[in-house]
Amino acid sequence: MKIVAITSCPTGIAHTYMAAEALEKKAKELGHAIKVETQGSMGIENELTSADVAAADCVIFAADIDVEKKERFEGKKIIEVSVQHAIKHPEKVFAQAQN
Amino acid sequence: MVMSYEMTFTCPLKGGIHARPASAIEAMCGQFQSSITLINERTGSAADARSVLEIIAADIRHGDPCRCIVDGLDVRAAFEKVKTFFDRDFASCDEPLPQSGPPSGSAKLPMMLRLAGTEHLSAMPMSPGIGRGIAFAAGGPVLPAFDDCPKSSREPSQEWEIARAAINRVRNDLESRIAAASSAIERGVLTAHRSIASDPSLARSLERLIMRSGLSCSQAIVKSCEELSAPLRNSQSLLVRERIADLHDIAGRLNAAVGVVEQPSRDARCMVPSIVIAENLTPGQFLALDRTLVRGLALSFAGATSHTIILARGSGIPVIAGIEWNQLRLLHGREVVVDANAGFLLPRMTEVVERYFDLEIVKQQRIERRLARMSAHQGMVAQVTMEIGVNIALAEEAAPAFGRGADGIGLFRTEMLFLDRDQPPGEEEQYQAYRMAAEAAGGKPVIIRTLDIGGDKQVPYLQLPSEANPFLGLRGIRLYSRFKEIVRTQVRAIVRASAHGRIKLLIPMVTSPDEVRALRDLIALAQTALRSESIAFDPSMPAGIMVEVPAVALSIDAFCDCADFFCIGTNDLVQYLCAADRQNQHVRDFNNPFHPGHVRILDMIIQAAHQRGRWVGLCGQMAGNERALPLLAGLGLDEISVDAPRAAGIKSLLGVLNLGECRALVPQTAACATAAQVERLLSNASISSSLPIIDPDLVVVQCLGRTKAEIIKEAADILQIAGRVSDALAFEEAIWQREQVYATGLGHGFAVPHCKSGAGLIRASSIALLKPASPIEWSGPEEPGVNVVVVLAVRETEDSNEHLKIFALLARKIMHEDFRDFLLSADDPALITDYLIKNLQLFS
Repeated sequence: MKIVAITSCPTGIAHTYMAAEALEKKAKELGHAIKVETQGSMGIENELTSADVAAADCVIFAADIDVEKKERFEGKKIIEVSVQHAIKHPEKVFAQAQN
Repeated sequence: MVMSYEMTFTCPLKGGIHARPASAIEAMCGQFQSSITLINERTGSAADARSVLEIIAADIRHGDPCRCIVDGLDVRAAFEKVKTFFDRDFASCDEPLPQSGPPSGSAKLPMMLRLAGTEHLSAMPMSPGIGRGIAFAAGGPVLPAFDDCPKSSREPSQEWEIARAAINRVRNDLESRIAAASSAIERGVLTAHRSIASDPSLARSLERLIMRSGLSCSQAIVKSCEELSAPLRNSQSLLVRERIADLHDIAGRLNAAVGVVEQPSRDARCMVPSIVIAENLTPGQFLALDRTLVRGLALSFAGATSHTIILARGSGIPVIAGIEWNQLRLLHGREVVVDANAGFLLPRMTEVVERYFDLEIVKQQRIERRLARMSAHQGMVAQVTMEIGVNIALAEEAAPAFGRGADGIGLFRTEMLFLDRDQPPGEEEQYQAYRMAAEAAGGKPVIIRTLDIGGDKQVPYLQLPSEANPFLGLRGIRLYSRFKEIVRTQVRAIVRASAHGRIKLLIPMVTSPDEVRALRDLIALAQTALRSESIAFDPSMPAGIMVEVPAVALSIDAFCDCADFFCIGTNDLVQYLCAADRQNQHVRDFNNPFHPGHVRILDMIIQAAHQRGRWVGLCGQMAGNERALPLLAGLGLDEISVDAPRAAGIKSLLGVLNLGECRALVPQTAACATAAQVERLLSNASISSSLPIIDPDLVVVQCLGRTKAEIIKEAADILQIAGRVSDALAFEEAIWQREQVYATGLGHGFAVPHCKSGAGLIRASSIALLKPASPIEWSGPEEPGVNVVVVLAVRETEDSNEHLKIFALLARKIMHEDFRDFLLSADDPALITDYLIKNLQLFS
């Protein structure tokens, strides 16, 4: 599967990146391709292009606050989970994505 | 024909007529000759409106109908005033009393105590430290019993003369104490005492008992005190009942003034480690305590510069003040904790309180170890070499100051030796004091300032002329020509003491080089005399001057020939520069050391002095202000001198400053237009960018904390000790605020509490790592415990994302097992630090 994701937590210092790392690690394990955009205190990094979004089979929002530039994902299947959930149970997130 | 005038009114005051409004009435009547009588129609009692005690005794409450009768030669004028007063001004004459301390419950308790709902009493810290012991009530003169008073052996008229003289002495003594009072509370209490001492009903009572009943002075004093207290005891108002203690205090002073020796207060000496509680304590009473057993002091009131506080500071005894005596006295016999760092008293020894105390003791030890390392420069390379001196007022304070890492005594204020006594100290007494300080210094410099009186420092036995503008009048060296003997004695004592250490003599309030030369002549004379007496001294003892007169600040070069060094007195310099009396609340905002004009003049002084190779130090409140420190360091001062409690904090901050950034602050602040801009600039100044984000000081394996609250406190303390956050308590609060919003337990035995804040709180972004001895409950009882706590302190800054990148990288690494496993098993702070540096790509 081709997956794109956005992670975003309130202070944007730690959890945003932990979630990103968790999702990247798990994706690699399961053999998926993934690109994760972080929306943290340094702003938007590794921004998802419209090409990335178009090619994606699934979109994951691991966020506790509103995701920025949501318009990009209109019409796509989005799975929304909390940041904590992505950190602690990334395998469940991907299981959800499969279905 | 003289008539009497009457008016009626209803008491509008919610608290009734207690001490403060009674004083207002008394003050209003003072200018007239007519007799003015106040009658409480509800009770029928009548009071002389000039007697605060009688007014209070009339117990006029809210809503009571009252009548005021005016009768005498100037009845018309008096009555007009009285009518206006009661009709118009009276209702608003009862302002809220200045609080004797912050109201209980407003002090921010550390979280671990707050979570446990720990009982506490807020107070003002007066001398730092923390102590634990059994509360022991002490202090307060006890009036002799009537039967124990000596009977009269003189003619009644002679006896009355003695009593009258005593009243005057007590009143004058109170006047000078009021002038010297350093806090509004102290001033308030002393003013209330003075009005009682001046109360006509007290004098009338004494006169009657002595002249008509033939009692001796002290019998009359004791009996008057009883009689005048009686009606006060019945009052419903606590404020009125408190005046009884004032009456007793005055009676005690009167007794002393007529030569009756003060009775020792309740005889009990502490036999166990104790926290001494008292309404207030005289220096004599303090010194009579067994100081090895006194672990702390809790007073109802004491000014910050009261001698007792100074002595307590010098002995390293924590002191808090401001708790009402009625609350404090109830603690007698209980084991309590006094925290004079944060400012509260814990009246109950619960398990949490014991833990808190233990953690605080460890914190003190860590601070001391760090200070010791800094003094020895072990492994700490501070860029700024400015020395930190300590101010002292008594020789006893010197040894503890050096024990806490002082680089010298920046200012020994000798006037304390001259205050509160009947005559000046002799040469031998002074010599011993100066010698004590010199010897305690062990080779470090001790700057002794010659007598600096006048202005706000009054010495009754010198009978200084009263001036309209004492701060612009005869002060410091300007008075020396009037008291040649006293000056000669002091100079001789200082020169003799110079044989015992590195003493530097400092001259106050200099305006012209001639003054300096005149004093140097005195030094030379003393040296010649001592030489001929074969008494040792240091012939190269330097003599320097205070820079506080603006004209001197602008002509430093003219003084470089006669002065060996300079000491900038910012308290007075700012006052004169900004034309704002530092004791006048109305102009408090104008008296600001951050005024760009002051910054420029400091720069001028230091440049001019250094150009001629002269040392420049600085003393005054500004020296102890952490916000000012980077600027002072950047200005290139050789030394700043602070009050003892501030020395450790200032030294640790100095250790983390970046000299280049500090220097850059000088032209930036000098170019500001207002003090507010200067302060803002300093708040945001990036002065610690040279600090690495992690170092072994911030890694604690086998830390003490056993609960989440304890570990967070420990981390905050560690960060403060290392100079990375300015205030551990505030940092703790910030972390907890974040915790409420977002869980920081990550599973896998890791927790990452963090917070972001401005440079005012977080001086340098830092990572601290703590490993408890056993797993800690973090996110709730069902979650597995935490073994590694990584604390992130992120400083908000306009510029780089550098630190944020590091934290982001750290966050990602924590998701990897090998990274976690290393941290879980490692137990060497240096190895952990190196591992983090490598993995987070922290190359300096």
